Amino acid sequence: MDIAEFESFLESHEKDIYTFCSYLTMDKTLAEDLYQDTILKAFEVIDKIDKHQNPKSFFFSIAAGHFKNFNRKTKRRQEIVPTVSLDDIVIEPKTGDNTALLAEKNMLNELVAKIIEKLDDKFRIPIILCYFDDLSEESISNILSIPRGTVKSRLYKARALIKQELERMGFSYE
Amino acid sequence: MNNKIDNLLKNHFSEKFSPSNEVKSRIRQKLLEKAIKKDTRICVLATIFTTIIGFMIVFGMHLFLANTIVTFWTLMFFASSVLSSLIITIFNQLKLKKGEIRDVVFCI
Repeated sequence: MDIAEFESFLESHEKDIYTFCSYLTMDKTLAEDLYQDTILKAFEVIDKIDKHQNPKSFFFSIAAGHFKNFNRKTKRRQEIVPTVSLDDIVIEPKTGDNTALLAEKNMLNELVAKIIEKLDDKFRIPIILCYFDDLSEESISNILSIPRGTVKSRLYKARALIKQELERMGFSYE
Repeated sequence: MNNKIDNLLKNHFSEKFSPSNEVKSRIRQKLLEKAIKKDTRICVLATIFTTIIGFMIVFGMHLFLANTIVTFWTLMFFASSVLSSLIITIFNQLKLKKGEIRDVVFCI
């Protein structure tokens, strides 16, 4: 892929790559950083990108790898100097607050987002790839460099964990 | 159970986001810097090659043929043409693109 092809590819697929980064990080600033690092990293190996072999998967693979590294570093830092996340601070809604009137769909979406965020990376990344871009198990296995069977079992386990968590919160999925 | 969870997840991941213009321009700037840095590195490398090998060849031949009719500047001309072909060969080996090789030779 040359520079002109790289630019035109980015123009047509930037939304997909950025959305994937957003779902991975669940944070706008982190997503922007991850997106930027992914593009710059891909540019460094521009000669290795084959435009005929699904370059989007290549970008997803870089983003997933970069995110795993970032998480590993953050975990190590957390072990040395523990910090409190803003999400850990629970603010109880006041009576008559607008939050109580949130549509069920939005509430469910928020709950699902929270559950997915809590999932381990090994379950979360395949779930995101599977549902966000409708990728096949084969493609996910190529992106994450893991066997297809592992992808299948992780997807199954992730779905089961999400269902279990939703049921614990009072939603029925039988 | 899978269908319900499937639909729920599909619905959840149906939203798409776009990077802000600020991020896009920041990335464009960084990509430009990276491209320039790569070009600069190639040119610096080519210049160092030319200087070292050129001086070695010219000085060696000048010493060897000092008392003949061949002058220093004739040797310089000869050496530069040898060097041009040598450097093109090296950059071909490095699998640089035609445009980049042309830039390097032009830079030299």
